[in-house]
Amino acid sequence: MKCAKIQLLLTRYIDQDVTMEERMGVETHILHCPACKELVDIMNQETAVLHHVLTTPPLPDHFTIDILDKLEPFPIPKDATVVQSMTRSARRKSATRLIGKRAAVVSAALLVTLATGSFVSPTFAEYISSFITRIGGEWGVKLAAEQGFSTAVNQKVTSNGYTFRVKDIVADPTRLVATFTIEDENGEILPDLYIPNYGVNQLFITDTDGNRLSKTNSFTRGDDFADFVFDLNDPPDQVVVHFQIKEFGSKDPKSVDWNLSAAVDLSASKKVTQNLPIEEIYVSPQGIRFHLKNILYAPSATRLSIETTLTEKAKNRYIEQAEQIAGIELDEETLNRYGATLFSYHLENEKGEHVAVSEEGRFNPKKSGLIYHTLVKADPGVEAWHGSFVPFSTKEQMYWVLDSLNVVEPAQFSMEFEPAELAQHPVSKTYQGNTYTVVGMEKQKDPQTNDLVTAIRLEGTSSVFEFNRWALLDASGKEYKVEIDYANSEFVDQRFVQTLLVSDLPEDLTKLKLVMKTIRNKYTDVKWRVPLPQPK
Amino acid sequence: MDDDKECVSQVLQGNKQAYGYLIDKYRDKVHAIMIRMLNQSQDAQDLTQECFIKAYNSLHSFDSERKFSSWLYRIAVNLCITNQQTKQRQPYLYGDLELVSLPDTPSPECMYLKKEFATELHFLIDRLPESYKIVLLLRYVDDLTYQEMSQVLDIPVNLVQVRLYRARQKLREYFSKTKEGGELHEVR
Repeated sequence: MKCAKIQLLLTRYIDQDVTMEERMGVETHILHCPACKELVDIMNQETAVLHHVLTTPPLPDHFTIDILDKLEPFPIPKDATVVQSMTRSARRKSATRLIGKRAAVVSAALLVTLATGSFVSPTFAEYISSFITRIGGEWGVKLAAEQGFSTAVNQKVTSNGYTFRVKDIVADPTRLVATFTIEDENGEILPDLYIPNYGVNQLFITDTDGNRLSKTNSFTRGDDFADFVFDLNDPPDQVVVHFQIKEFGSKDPKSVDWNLSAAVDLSASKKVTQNLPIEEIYVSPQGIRFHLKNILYAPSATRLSIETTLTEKAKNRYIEQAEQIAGIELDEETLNRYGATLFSYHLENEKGEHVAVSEEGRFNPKKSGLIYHTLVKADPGVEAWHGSFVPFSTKEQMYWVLDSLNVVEPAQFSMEFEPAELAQHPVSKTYQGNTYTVVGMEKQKDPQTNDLVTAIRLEGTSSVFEFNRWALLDASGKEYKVEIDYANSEFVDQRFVQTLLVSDLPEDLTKLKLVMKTIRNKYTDVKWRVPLPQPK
Repeated sequence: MDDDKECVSQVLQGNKQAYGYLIDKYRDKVHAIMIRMLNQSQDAQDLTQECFIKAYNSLHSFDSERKFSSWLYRIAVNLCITNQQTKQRQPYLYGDLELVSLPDTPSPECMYLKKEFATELHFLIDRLPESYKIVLLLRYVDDLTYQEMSQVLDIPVNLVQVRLYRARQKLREYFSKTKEGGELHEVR
C-alpha cells in the first residue's frame, strides 16, 4: 500500500475499525516505512492521552443506591418460576419473549384511550414521586399508578399565548386526579396555576354518553404543577374528563379558550376494588345522627362513606330556638343551615395508636396520614361525606373513632350601630368566645349585578371557620335581607373579614342592628368507636 | 454483553437489584459524557441519574438483539441534546480534572502530550464543536465501535470516522496555535 492510502486508513486503524485485510495492509506497510510508523505511534499516543484526559473522576459510592431508591421494581410475572428453572440458553430465549409480552402489557396500561393519541410522559417516574406527597400520604396514588391505574396524558391546548397542559391522570373508583401545568409562550410554567372550577369555567366528568357524573372537585398546588381532584361515586368503566376553561389566575384573571377532553379507563382498578358494608349508627348528644355506611378498598385510597343527619328532635329544638331570635323572620335557607355538621375523627389500631387523622373536614396535603375528606351531596338535613386515606396495613384491625363535631345552630346575638359614627367608633362585641367588630358601611356597586348596594364590613376572631349569617333591622324593626359577599370575605388563621351586602337600604337610617342568625358551635362530648372490616 | 441482557431480563421480572449491576457498570462512562457535554458537574450527575431512570422506565422497550450499552448511550446523548436546548451553558470548572495524569511520551514533537498541557487540553476539548466532542467521548471513554457509534448518534459510519478524524485534527491545530502563544488566554 502507498503512504497516502495508509494515512487515509489510519484513524480507523487506530480505532480498530478496519477489516482483516486492511489491517494487514497497514501493518505490513509500517514495517518498511518509518514515516508512517511514526505517524501511527503518535496517533496511538494521542489515543492514550485522550483516554486519560477524557476520563472523569469516579462517581461516589452511593450513586447507584441513590438511583435504585428512586425506582420501583417491575411486577413479578406469574410464570417467573417457570422461566428460572429453564436452561440458560432457553431462558434467554423466553426472557426475550417475556420482554416482548411485557412491552405489550405495560403499554396497554399506560397508553391512553384518547381520541387524539398520546405518548408516555418521559418524566413519568418523577411524576410518581411527586404524587407521593400530594394525596394524603406516601403510597396511595403511587401504588395505583404503578399498578397501571394511571394514564399518561400530556395533552395540551394553547390560547392567547398560554398553554394548558394535562400531564397525567390517576384514577380509581374513589377519585380521579388530573395533573396539569400552565405555560407561557416560552414554555415556562407560570407561578399562578389557579383555575376556578365555577363561573365561566366548566370542569367535569361524564360517562362515554356524555352524562355528567361528577363536578365536585378541588384544586391543590404542588411546586410546579397543580391537581384537580374529582370525587367519583360508583363510576362506570370508562369516563371522560372535560376541561372547558375560559379564565385562569387567582389575582388577575386571564382570558383563554381552552377545551380539552381525556378518556380514562377504570376497569382494571374496578376489578381490584372491594366495597364492604359497615352499617353502624350513632346519635350524638346534640341530636346529630352518624351513619358509617361502608368502606371501599381501592388501589389509590381506602374510603369511608359517612352520612350525617339531623334527628327530628334536634330539628325541632333548633326551630324553637330560632323563633326566639327577636324580630327575625325565619327563612327556609337559614332553617336548612341548622344542623350542618363538620366532624373530626381518626383511625386507630388495637393499641389505640392513631394511624390517620381528619380535622374537621379540612385536607392538609403537607401532613401524611391525613384523611382527604369531602362532602359528596348535601340535601337539607342530610350530608354525605367521604373520608379517603391512603391504604394502611390491612393486617391490623383498624377502628374509626369520632373525636368532635361542630354544628351550625341558632345564635342569640346582635349588635347595634350608627352608620354615621362607624368611622370614628367601630362597634365591637364578643359572643361564644369570638369577637365581632362592625368596621364600616358604604354604598357600592354589586360586583355581580352592577346595582347599587350597601356593603357592611365586619372583622373579628372566631375559633371556628364559618361565616355567620346575619339579618339587618332598622330602628322600626323592619328587616332587610343580607347576603354574604364571599369574594370580599376571608378567614386567615382565626381572624376573619366579612363583607355583607344589603340591597335597597334607605339612605337616611341612623340606627341599625345586625342580628346573628347562625353560629357554628363545637362539641367534644362524643363517644363512638367502630371496628372496620378488613378486605378479603 | 450477555451479562447485560441477563441483567435486563432479571430486572423485568421484578429483580430491581439487578439493575444496580448495570448502573455500576456504566455510570462512570455515562457521567463522563455528561460532564463534558454539559460543562457543569452538578448537572452532569443529575443528568446521569436521569439517564438511568429513563432507561429503567423504558426497559420493556429495549430490543434484546441490540447491545444494552449502545442503547443506554443513545438515551444519554439524547438527554444531552434536550438539555442543551433548554439550558444555558456555564463556564466549566476544571478543578476536578487537573488530577488526571498523562503518560510520559518519548517523542518531543508532540508537545500537547506533555503533562503541563493537561488543563489546556481539557479546555481545547471543550471548545470543540458538540459533534466532534461526542464522538471523542463515545470512542475514547465508552470504547464504542464505529458501528455502535453510528447507531447511538444515528449517523452513517463514514460520518463517524470523518468526525473522529477531524476532532483529532482540530486538537492538533489548537495545540499548534497555543505553541505560538496568545490565543488560549484571549479566549478566556
